[in-house]
Amino acid sequence: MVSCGTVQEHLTAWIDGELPTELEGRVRGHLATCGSCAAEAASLRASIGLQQQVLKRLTATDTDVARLHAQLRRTIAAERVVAPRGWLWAWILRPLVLTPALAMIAVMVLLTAAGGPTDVLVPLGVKSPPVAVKRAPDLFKDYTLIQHLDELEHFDTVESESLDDEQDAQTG
Amino acid sequence: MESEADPDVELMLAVQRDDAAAFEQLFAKHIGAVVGFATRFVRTRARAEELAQDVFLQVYRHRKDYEPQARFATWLYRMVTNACLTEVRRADYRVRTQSIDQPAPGREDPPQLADPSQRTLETDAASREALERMHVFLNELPPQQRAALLLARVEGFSYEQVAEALSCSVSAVKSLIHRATVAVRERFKEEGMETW
Repeated sequence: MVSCGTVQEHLTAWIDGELPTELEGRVRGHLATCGSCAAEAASLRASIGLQQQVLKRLTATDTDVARLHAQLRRTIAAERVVAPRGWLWAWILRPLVLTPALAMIAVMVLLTAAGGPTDVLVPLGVKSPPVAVKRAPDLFKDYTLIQHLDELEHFDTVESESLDDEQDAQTG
Repeated sequence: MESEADPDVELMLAVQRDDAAAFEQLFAKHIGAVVGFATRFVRTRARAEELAQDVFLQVYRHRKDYEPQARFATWLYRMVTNACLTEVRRADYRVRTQSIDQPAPGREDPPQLADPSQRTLETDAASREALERMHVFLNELPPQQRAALLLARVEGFSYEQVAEALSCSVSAVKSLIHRATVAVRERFKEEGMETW
């Protein structure tokens, strides 16, 4: 059994033929036995017809199609000239441009990860070592180690400081 | 599939192939209704025309993305409704911030009767009154209810199509249309306009 409240919630959809078959049958059955809901349905149906008529008249417009279309055509033409963004992206993403660009990026990433171009290219013989190294190769047998002298100096400092501390403790 | 029987889908597929004549046909077929729909959400006819043109510009720009899964009109009115509801939100914002650019109340275009050649003086007066009242009643409805009512009653959309255009569920549409219908009926009753 469907209540009047439930039926009245579904009345507009029922009039519009938008209820599923089973619910439609239940609403129809209720309306056959309930005078107030049947009256409400009749009132709504009349109002929907009236609303439809008025709304259709209200939204009907005398539109100047030719003028509006000409304006739109001009906008589209201007857009084609000014902003060919789609073409630009298509050109950038061509395999011929994209592949070398990606390869360059990969090489740069690898070089950076390996400690910079000097660390990689000098031992490989691709890049020349500094002039001083070339003039006295015996002095710079292990050039890649010498590059890290700064770090060794820090190590020495730490070592000497700890020694000094020990000496101070002994003399104190 | 409902799109199979829709001639507009064929036209839109031709537009995808850069057929300018097909685009013109679609434009000519729908622009009037789109302007009429938009007029119910903006204050002036000129703004409604701008909005309708923006929508057709979107149709042209996104022609390659179009997939014929539903009626063309459903796809079109989804864009139209979005544009109108966005416009309403902007207008609300302008009202809240009391912009000096906003037209004074009463400066908006009055509702117009189409096809002036077919009017008579008597029907004109009665029709005009009913239209003016309906214009007011519609503006009193929340924008979502207004959109749902117009799509169902004027464009003849099914509840499912309205749901697609409004990006909501069918049960939400059922509720929106019912509430709008009852609200407008009550306003008609208050004004003693139960017949036309």
